[in-house]
Amino acid sequence: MIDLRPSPDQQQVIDSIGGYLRRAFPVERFQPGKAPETTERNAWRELAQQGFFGLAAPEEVGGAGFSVIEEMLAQREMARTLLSPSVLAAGLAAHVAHAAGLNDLAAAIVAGERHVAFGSEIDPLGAGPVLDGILHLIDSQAGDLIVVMTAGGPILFERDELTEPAPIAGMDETLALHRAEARSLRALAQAPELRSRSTLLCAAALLGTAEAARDLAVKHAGIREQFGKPIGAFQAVAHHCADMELRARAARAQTAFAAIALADGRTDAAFNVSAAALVSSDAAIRNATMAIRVLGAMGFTAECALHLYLKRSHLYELLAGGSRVHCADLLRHDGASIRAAD
Amino acid sequence: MQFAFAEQDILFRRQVRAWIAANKPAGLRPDDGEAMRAFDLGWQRSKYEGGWAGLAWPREYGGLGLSAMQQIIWYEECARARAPLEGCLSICLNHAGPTIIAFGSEEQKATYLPPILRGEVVWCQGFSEPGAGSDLAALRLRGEIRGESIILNGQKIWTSHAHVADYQETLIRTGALTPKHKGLSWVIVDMKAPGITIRPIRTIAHNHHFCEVFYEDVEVPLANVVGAVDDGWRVGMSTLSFERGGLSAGRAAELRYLVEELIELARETGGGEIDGDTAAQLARLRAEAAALQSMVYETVFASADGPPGPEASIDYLYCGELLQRIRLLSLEVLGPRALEAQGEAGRWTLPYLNDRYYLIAGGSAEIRRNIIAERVLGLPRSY
Repeated sequence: MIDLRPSPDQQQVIDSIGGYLRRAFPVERFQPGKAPETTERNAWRELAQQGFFGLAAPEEVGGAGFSVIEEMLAQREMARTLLSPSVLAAGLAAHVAHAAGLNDLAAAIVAGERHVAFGSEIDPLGAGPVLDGILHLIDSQAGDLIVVMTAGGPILFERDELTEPAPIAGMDETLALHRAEARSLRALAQAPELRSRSTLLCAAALLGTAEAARDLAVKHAGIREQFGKPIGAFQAVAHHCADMELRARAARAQTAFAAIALADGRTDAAFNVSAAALVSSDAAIRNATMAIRVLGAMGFTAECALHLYLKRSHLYELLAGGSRVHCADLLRHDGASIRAAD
Repeated sequence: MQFAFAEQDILFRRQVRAWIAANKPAGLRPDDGEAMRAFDLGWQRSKYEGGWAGLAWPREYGGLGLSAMQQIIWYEECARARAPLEGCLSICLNHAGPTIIAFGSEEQKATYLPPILRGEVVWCQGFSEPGAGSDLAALRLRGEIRGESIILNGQKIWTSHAHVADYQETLIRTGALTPKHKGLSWVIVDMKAPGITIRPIRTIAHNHHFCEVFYEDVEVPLANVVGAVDDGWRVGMSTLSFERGGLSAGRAAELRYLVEELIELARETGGGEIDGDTAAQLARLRAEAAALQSMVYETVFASADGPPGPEASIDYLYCGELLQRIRLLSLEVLGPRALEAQGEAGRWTLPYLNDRYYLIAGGSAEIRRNIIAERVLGLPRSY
């Protein structure tokens, strides 16, 4: 049986998570001059109660025990509403802690007792467990746990162990950015086996971003009138929209297949996850780029959410491991790993 | 979400793989003329004799009535073994035959269907005209009903393989020019009938893929109309093919193997090494070919038992554009040899020229984008 669409149960997960996020974290919260009432950080406990940090964590650490497929589908919804990547970081951190046997820490993360944020390597930290290097911190504060994708897979450590995180102006103003240094820092946990899972979830975020950008562009093209008709009735615009759909669709199908491959422990899982990361990065960056064009001057303003989808595209592309790395990985697989069937 | 093959599908795949290995035609497929016709008919005859003719056709018409999954397996195995697809028999197997099954009289079915399965006849499709390409319904080839005959006068163009065909499924205008979708009829034309002149057209890829066909007082029996007179648009445009995405799955698999062959070529050309820029492009092609295959799987099984919806159009467009990227990169990899059109280089340079028809024939890339915008995204009609 082959079915790359969500089952009715999986669709329920999508609807319930998507519905909650659209109510609690509407995209409009980022409009200039509007300080969002609810931020991920002040709603952290509620997010924990909603199960966001333990969707696919085992029940022994308080997780819901869903598979990586549901986790992928949830991540796609989170990216659509521009939820802070810290929520994904927390889910991932729980996996890393659990994989390292730190069940208490995993349980604390799932329960929302610890805040988690992503780090992103600038000068690589090495393969661990002792880390030296320079990194960015995304949407973090003192006292947070930091999860970073390194050459040795995702690793987890205390932010307070870093040397003087310094705030720096970031492209995405909705996410605090710091630059920090690790000097002989000892990781709490490291999980090379979670590398593909981590990449897949970032690919899912890129997919959600690509779809959200497409949706904004299509909606605008159907309403905005010039020369007496909706601009979507001009092929120059309609075909840009069709291309967005083409890219989003490729990203969706490949991310779905990669999730199944990972859930089933297929030998081509790593290959398919890298392919998903590459195709989804391309879809997210190019869809956000074209959507800004379709919305014209409105798309160029900070009032419209499109700039955030563009900025998040670049962020998730890096968090997914970087397209250059995936290109190199993809070519390392031998020809025998290319078949989906058999 | 799941991806698993049932025990019987795995057995079926083994059976198909063994049969194709033992029976696939030897040598390269000639890409033109009588040699191509003989090659494609020979392959169809082997399939008929081996019990593999009419994969998708219903059993009552001599087909195998394979499920979507089995069709996919068949075509994937063909791709794996580098066995040819239907070639110039694609029109009769995947369009004309299924149309006759759906709309034909018992006599038409008995006359025309068996020779198709047995690999005895080639059909072509007379749809496009000089003034009717993307706007197909604007076609004007006149069919005047006189007693028990229809007299054809006019012209078709871009008719693939007309110069080697026995029959043509032809859309003609038996009624008024407006409204343009009304007044069309779908007829079977014998290509040997007096008054037909066929002029093969040389393509950019050194072959004669298609022809102009001229009709001067060509007499066709009224009994050759399939479906009702003046109802030809419905007859011709219904997605009648019993093919359930197997072909697109086969094409996706072919593209994955093609990328692998290109990677091999790049390794050989570079003495075992691939330069960084080419390597990155090859990696992207690998990822995109994998994505294409995933898209096709999603589409085929999302449409359950019915014909694929507009999504199939998206997959075809993605496939066609990916193919162009693969072909273009192959010329970069060939380097100076890209000027050659024979031998090892010709295996890449001629398809580089030829395969751009994927974005033109059977619905251009631009028409497909219109379809996506209108039918998938719900945007207003833009043409």
